[in-house]
Amino acid sequence: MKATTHAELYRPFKGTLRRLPLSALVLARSGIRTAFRSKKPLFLYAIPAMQMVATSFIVNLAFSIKSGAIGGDIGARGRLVGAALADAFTNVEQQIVMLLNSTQFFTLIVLAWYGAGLIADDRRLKAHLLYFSRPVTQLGYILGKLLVVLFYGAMAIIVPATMVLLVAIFSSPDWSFLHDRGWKIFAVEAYAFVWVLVHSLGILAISSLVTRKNHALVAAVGLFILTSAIAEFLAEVLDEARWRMLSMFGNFDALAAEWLGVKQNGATWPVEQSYAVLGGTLLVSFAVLLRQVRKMEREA
Amino acid sequence: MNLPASHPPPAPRPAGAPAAAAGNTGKTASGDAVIRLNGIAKRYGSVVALADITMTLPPGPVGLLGPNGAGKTTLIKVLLGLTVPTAGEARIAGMSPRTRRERLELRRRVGYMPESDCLIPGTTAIELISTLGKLVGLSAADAITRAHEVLDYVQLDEARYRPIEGFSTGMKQRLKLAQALVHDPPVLLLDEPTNGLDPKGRRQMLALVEDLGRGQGKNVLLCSHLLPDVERTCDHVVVLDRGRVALQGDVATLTRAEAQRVVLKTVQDGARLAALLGAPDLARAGWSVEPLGRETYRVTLPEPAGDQAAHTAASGAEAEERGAGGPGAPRSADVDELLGLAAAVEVLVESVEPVRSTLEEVFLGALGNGGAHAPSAVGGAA
Repeated sequence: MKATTHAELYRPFKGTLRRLPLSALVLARSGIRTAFRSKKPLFLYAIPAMQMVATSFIVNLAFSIKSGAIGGDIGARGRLVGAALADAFTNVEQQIVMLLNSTQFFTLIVLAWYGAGLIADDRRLKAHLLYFSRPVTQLGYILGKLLVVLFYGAMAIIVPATMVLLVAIFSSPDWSFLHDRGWKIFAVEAYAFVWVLVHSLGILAISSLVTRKNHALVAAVGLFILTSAIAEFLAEVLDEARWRMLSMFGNFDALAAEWLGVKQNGATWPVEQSYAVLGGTLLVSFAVLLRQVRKMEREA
Repeated sequence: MNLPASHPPPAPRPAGAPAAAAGNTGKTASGDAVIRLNGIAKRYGSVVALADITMTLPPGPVGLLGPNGAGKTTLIKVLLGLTVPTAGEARIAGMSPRTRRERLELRRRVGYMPESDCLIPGTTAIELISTLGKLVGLSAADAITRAHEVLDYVQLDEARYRPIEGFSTGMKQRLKLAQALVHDPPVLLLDEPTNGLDPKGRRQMLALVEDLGRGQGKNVLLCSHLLPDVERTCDHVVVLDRGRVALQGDVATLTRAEAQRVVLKTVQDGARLAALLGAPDLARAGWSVEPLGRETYRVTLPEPAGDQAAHTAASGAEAEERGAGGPGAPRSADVDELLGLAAAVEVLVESVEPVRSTLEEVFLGALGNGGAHAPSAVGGAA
């Protein structure tokens, strides 16, 4: 019941409208906030978080042993074993690649969870009408949606990698990690970013093709997991490692070997071919997105 | 939720009169016309959605009427630049949505309320409106202030922090109206705003639309298939049928009184008067009568003689002749003659009212013409 004195009057706007160069940021902020309301999927971050803590602990321990901060009273033989372990575990790039590999399935689910509905729901509800009846460009719309997925992907991949790198920097004696392998920090960050970007764009492209979040979720997870399974199967059966190029994960193995010097199982083809596959995937995803979003605006 | 006392029924603005001077008035660079369409056509394959529409819409509230599939929504999308016409040019608020730059600029001046349930679940009303405000160019502070103001205006102030998935249909419709208003645009395109509303919700929505069009001076293009909604809120109407303009004109003119027909109510013995009017000599003079109900008759008055009609028109005395009935109302002399005939047969007359066409009759008449273009009152439909 309202008080009778309450009066809803129309108040004209006296200010001015700005030219908004990056409407994508507004869209992204809104999308991130809306997605964050749903707390249940946050438990998916538990696996990357636990892995991050474990890897950070190992890296810290390895650098401590190497610097002699701990393990001084374990005898010569113990020191020898400790040094060998420390050498292995202070290869931070390898630790990070192992961390990412062990969590990539969960990260993929995280990306799919947050990205699958972003465009599919807009199409189903015709919510894009609200955006395209405003000065929002197609690219702005795509970028806004992409930033949402990138944000949640970054939380699962880039943040853990960065945390491990920070632990390595601060644990290494006399900042030796920063001095000796500082450029690897950029390589690791770039690797993690490309991983998130390729998968995010792929998931968004799938989302733009359907009108139900669940369909996009199943299609996205199915596509990446199935192609990996098929690629692995063909590589084993036909005894030809190149079949692993069908899998995004296989191509990222090749990328890790080239950028981070971390050799992994079976990525024996030239890295240029993986560049082509990953670049092609990015291009196709972007082309699909652009076509679908153009269609959405035109058929709004 | 009661309709606020702050929404007194606004006085109807004379047709074609300029919009009131509110924050953003409908003044455009192209003079008084807010929307100009020149040979607009839109085809989807072999389906013709819009066929060579040329018209000029005046400022103020305009109703866009038509049966389902008439092309109303397509026309709105053409105006927003969401759909590219196959041929022709549309100008809205002085801008054409042809180029990308103009399309984006135009969308800053137009508020669009879509027909579909386009609200994104998971957000609150205040978040949604402020985000959409920012997308048009409001600063963060302005966006939040405007969001509160427009939610107050559409009476969603108490629900502003609630997730919108819990909103009723009426609340969702008002929220959609609020998002169209957040940047205070001079032009509002409202697509079926009363869809799915119960009578109370419909009344509330119509009161808001009426206030925006007549009280706040917004140039409202109300797209609807509900004639009473348009009749109540709009000064001007365009009827679309199968992609063509079937009729265009001021509501007041289209529904004006018919010059030669009146509804006669008698106290008693009306049959005597009916018999008299049906007599051969009066029938030959042009009188006729048709019973409508108990003591109620529709009487057709004789056409004035050619020289008499010419005289009244030439002397400028026609308006006076037609008395208080206004344009198209029966002439006083004819009514006096009818009353004289009633007195002659000693029948007591209760009232004589001019017959007015309802918008529904006008609408059906226009559609009955198979989409032929009726003469327009304003602007000139092609």
